[in-house]
Amino acid sequence: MKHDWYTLDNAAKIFPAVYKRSDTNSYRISVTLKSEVNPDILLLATKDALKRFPHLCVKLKSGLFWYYLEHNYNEPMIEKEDPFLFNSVRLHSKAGFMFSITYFGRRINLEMFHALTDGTGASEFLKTIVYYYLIHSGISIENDGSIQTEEVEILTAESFDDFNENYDSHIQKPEKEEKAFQIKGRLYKDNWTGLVQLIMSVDSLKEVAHKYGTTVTGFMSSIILYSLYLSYFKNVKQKNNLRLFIPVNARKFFDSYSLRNFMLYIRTTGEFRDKNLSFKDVVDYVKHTLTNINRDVLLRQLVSNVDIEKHFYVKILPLFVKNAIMKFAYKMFGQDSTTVSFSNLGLIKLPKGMEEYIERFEFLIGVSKLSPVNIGAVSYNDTFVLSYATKFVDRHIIRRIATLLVEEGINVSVEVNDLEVQ
Amino acid sequence: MKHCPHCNVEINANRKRCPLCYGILEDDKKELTYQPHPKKAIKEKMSLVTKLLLFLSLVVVVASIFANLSTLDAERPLYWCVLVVVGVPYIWLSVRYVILFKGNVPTKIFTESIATIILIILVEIIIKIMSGTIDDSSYLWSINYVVPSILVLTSVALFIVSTVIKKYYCDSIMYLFVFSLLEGIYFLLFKITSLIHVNWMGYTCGGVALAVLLAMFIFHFDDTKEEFIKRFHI
Repeated sequence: MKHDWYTLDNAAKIFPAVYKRSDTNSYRISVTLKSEVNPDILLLATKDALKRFPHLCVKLKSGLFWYYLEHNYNEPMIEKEDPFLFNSVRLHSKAGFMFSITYFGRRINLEMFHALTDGTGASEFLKTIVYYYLIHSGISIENDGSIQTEEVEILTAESFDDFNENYDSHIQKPEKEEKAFQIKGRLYKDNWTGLVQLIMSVDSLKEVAHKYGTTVTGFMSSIILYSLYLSYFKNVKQKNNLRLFIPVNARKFFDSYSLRNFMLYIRTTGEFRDKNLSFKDVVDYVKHTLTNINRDVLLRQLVSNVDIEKHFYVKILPLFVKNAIMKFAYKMFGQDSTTVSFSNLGLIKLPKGMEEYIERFEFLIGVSKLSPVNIGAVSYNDTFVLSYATKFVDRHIIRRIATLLVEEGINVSVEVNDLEVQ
Repeated sequence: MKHCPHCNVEINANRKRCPLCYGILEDDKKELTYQPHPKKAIKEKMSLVTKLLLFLSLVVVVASIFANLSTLDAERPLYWCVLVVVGVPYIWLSVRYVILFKGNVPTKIFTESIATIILIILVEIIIKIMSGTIDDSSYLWSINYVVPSILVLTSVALFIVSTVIKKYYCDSIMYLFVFSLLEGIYFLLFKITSLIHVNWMGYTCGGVALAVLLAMFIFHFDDTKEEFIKRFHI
């Protein structure tokens, strides 16, 4: 059977250029089951799921001018979880898959190289794997349409590069963004990544968020920003402002069915320097940012991102020259306009028949020396998990986040990746 | 489950100290429900065997240099240690990037043949320079015999193997194209420079380059066309 090949979408193009074993530019979505994971069943489930997502069953190839993706005929491998987070995607391995499936105890992890898809695409893939895992375990589940299975038609639109589809050269690009405050700290040895997770009730979070007239994303963004403000800006002069990077699922703004990358972003505005701010002030800053998200704003950003690859002189540059330039630019300016990223994947919905076998989901965003602190969040049923991944030994930011949540009357439970800090 | 009285949070982990404030935790007798993470193991950057082999390689290289220099004939110096100095890294690179390399078979064949060509040319040139026997009219047997032989034999063998074992063909296309390009460059050098003295080698290279390209398009038109589109898309 002939399989399609794919060009890399706009968001994906940077990642192969800057990939290295110590900084894989990947993220992790995990699901904790209520019983121990069987790796043989997990392998069967993964193979079945890959038939439904052909655009994920690919390997990265180098052309003369650009990378591209072609079908991968190898077998996927299931491995035990690596204690080092974001370390299991191996682009140049024999199998060549751009994601990894690992397990440990009751947890299944999907680590995804960001060139392949974004959190939304990856969560659909993981949901399908879990669905097939339970089916192969002998459990009968009625799919209510929330799981993409082989019985559900594969839409051509799922493999569209919607960055290119929506590009319009006549749209004015946004202004250049200013540099943001960068967090400094003591790095772990051996390229270790620390993980602190705060687990809380979705309902109590929603209740507090509504009290402030905002959404869960808005409330958590405010908590993170206020924590950073208290840690670094209160009564301290800083040169650059605090900017929180919040990915936005562009699909709902552009009627997209793509399961590849299609996320844009906003950065919070609001002045934190030389100000005496209350939490309410920060909430208002975030509300102002979030209410300004609309199709036109996102389209301008999309055009700005895609524009550079449309120039003829950029197209004809050999790939190795493009890689060198992208590596250099990423190292020098890549994270300049962002202090911290916060991505909320939202509520994961599963058919009723699956709920009794699933405990919770987790969403972790990869970190590196250039981007040493990132925060991911996801909800399932009444469980909201905030995952704080960091290259730093220091804990003051996440401690303040937890304290602020407790002060708002939210019960917080804390889990870590078992590294006792020396 | 533990409780931190300072942070006022539950700690769902088997720890003595709070991971947020490092204060001593209280045990609230609730059951731990967390799914732990695997323990961090100490990773050694290089195994003992690799370190031993590296050390022995360096000893062999240094010993060969000393042995060569101490027994050098002043009248007719022969720097055989160049074979060792260039050969040992070549063996390391072959093992690392060909034998242990997890890539496909066509990649290994291509890498090994190019590395061998470079090795042989380097060895001949270095030995001739150090022996003072190189000049403008020097006859380089590596360029006249070895390079075209390797190019021709490898490209023909790769084409036959990838045609018989179909799963290798798509991965071989670009390598076959590069071999044809190199054979074409060799033919041009033969025609326009005095570097190459063996006529039939020059013509064979040019002929094989054309034959392989034609064969790729005649026997595998669809796959070859698609591969070119993928590799050269802008």
